Amino acid sequence: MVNNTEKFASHFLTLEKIVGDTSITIRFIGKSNERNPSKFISPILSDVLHQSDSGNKEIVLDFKELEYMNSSTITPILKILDKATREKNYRITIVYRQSLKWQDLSFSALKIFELKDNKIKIIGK
Amino acid sequence: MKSYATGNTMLLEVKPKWEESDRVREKSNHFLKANGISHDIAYALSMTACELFENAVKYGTFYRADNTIYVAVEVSKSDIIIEVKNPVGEKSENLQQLDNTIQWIRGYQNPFQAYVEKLKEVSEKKLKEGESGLGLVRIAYEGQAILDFYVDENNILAVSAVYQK
Repeated sequence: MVNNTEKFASHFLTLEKIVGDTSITIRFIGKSNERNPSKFISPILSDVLHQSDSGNKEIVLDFKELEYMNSSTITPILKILDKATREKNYRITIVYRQSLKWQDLSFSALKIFELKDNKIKIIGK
Repeated sequence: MKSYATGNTMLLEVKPKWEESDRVREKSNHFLKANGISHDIAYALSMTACELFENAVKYGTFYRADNTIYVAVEVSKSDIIIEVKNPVGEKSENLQQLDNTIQWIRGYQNPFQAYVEKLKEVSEKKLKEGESGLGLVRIAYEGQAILDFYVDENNILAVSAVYQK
């Protein structure tokens, strides 16, 4: 398997993109507290949707290393989930750290976007 | 930023600059832990202080260079109160929106239901840059705090979040 890794950083937040043969993983690392986090995050997520080749590659959004996010950070995550829900041709898995109370509360609530065909999954680890 | 702590109360005087939000959160977290509050609750309530501070920066009216946002954190036997004060305009549309949002949250018996409804709404609607509309409902759900506000005769808005121990 060939993995290709790229890093993007803005203030205290780093997004690490790992492109594998069957998946594209975005790791959120650090803290997201900018006034408009969508400006940084959304273009990267849009690019990932495009790169996933209409669902041939699974998209994994990994929040386990995220220390803090403000409420504005949730918006770009919701937008990608909404797009995946409507268009039904992407596979997205959200992974969070269940042992962190705030992550469990924030990300388990996203289970409302899970699809029965498992194309959208929210997993606490 | 100026910081005053006396026993169970901490007061921060902060310039209305977004960059200060992380320090508001960290100082609140440190103060709460120093007062014996558990990691998870201190984390949730420092998030609360940070969200209220960010709202103050976004929606406050700062005409003068010395305008300040005040963040107070008070720990008592029965509850923990986070209060953020900032100047507002005399006819601020944002106050009506704030009132509507707090009333809307109170309309749900369980703040989780309100949070989920807001997630659905935000996922579908077009928002202004930097807005999510999730801050207050996140405080109610993740911070498990009851929100309230008032405006005094000097047009200072005080928004409080009360966590009952």
